[in-house]
Amino acid sequence: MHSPDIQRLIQLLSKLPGLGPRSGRRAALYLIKNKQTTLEPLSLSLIRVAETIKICTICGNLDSETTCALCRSPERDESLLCIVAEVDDLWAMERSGCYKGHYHVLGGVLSALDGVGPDKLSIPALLARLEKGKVKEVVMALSTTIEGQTTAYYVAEQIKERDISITKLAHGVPMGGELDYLDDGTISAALKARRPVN
Amino acid sequence: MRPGSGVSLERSLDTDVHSCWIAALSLQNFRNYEIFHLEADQRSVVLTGENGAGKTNILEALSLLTPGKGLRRAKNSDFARVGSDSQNWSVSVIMKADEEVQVGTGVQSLENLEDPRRIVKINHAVSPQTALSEWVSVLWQTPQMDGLFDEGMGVQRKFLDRLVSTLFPEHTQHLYRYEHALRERSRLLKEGSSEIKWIEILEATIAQEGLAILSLRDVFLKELNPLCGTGVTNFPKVEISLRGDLESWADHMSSLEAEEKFQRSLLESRHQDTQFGGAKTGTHQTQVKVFHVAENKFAEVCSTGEQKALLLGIMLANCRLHMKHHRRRPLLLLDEVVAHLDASRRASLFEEIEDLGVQAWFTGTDESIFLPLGEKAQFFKIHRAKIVPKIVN
Ligand SMILES: Nc1ncnc2c1ncn2[C@@H]1O[C@H](COP(=O)(O)OP(=O)(O)OP(=O)(O)O)[C@@H](O)[C@H]1O
Ligand SMILES: [Mg+2]
Ligand SMILES: [Zn+2]
Repeated sequence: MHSPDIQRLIQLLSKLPGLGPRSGRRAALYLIKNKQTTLEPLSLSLIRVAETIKICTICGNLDSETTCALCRSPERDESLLCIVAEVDDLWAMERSGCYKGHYHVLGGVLSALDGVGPDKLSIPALLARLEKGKVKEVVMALSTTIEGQTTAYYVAEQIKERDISITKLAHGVPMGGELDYLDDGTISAALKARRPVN
Repeated sequence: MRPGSGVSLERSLDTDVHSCWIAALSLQNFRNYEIFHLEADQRSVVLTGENGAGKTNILEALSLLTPGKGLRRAKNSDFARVGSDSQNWSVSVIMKADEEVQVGTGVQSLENLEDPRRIVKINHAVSPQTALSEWVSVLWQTPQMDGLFDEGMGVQRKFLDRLVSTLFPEHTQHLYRYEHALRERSRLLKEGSSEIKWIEILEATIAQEGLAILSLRDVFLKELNPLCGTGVTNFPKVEISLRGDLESWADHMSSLEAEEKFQRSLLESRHQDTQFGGAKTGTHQTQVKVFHVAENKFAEVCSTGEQKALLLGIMLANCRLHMKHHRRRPLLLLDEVVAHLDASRRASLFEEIEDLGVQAWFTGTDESIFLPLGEKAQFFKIHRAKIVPKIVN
């Protein structure tokens, strides 16, 4: 029915989060109909992102440099380190504008059923960063699911022998709430009311 | 047990309990209904019709006014009418409480998803499923519950947990987190994981959630038991109790000590749990015992009819408990319940329901057994997913 090129485009679009075959078809048609305003700029942008975006070797953030803008910034507070599961959690924290420290992206949370063990998370890199001695407080910004909380305790356990205080966001949110779904006010309130992990 | 619970307290609460009833129900593409509309007044509703007409489906639709999977514990994709090309469906009601509330729920999705989300709208605004419990309580009894006392302990535990969850919605979360942490631990044990710290953290979580589950069950039963057998008729008095290692520890220890003991027992049973799966002790092993007080015997040795009466007695007590807590009347869904009762029990049930002042939805194939209800109920005959128009002489 479709040309192979369009078929391929639909297939790829369908795999995007939140889309499926039907919305994939709609998106493909929309792109083709809006060639100049959307399709062409989008394809250029995709190529550019594919070429330039790198994973920051220090914190795991995405940036066009191997050391991201956040890690380079002299304005950020080096004594504060916020641990998040994924880059979108980092984005959510940044959007709220209430946090001025550095980040560490773990790359997931512990889940035996999904086959994610400690070896899949960037815990060694985290420990190496802490070795430098500048961090005075680690803030866990992980979800309140079993996986998120297990990960928080696990990481806390790894770093507890140091002179670093370990805190976590005070989520007043429904259990299982992910950072990304929280509005900025809730995030800053949760950050202000952070409490020690015991 | 607190003094004053029981009859006197129960009688005094009726005054400021609000009514809550369904004034209109609309179904779209739901089960065998392509499109359906029913209007009702405050009285109880009797649905009759041949097998397969669609009576239970209507009760199921109403059961979706609570969070979760409804009275058949179905998947969201099962509700869509077989034979339609859409997986979208909806149940919408106008409810009369203090004010008029419009509640809609269903699947509205452009994609054919394997497990679509059930959306809830309250007064036309999208709301979380849990918000439903702020507006309405729905309690039900179905033929599937008949064998309850003859089946394994797990079934009775699930039955109790459902009751607890309808009163304390957070119970569902504790159960979910408990089971999830238990599964994570089982996987690590099975894989022979050397991540001892990880296992320890999960065991601490299991112990913590387990104690929360135990204490909610306990609080619930302390309130429910005194309300059993306090109605206007002779529905039997029931006493539900819990048995298990955890329960006996909690009996003579502080809950913190019991939690620590539970955690230690998980550590000690690791080897055994690796072999047999699950965990040797815990709230997933609790025995739920239902006792027929007047007959001085446990439910599992009661006759089929006695068991039904016990279940109804529990439901009526639960209804009172909801009225006490939420200050509003639950909706009762009684699927095929009436046909199996003898004439005197049937009369008692009708009397109890009238006394509670709730809107009950009854189903049955035979209209005549409901005739004693007379003008106190409204009758609808369903035939092939349609209301049969009444013949006016
Ligand atoms: N998703 C669905 N799509 C279409 N029909 C369905 C669907 N699910 C169930 N049905 C059908 O709906 C019909 C009515 O079912 P329901 O359980 O409401 O019957 P009932 O009136 O309670 O009958 P009984 O007296 O036997 O209990 C049945 O024939 C059943 O097969
Ligand atoms: Mg039926
Ligand atoms: Zn960085």
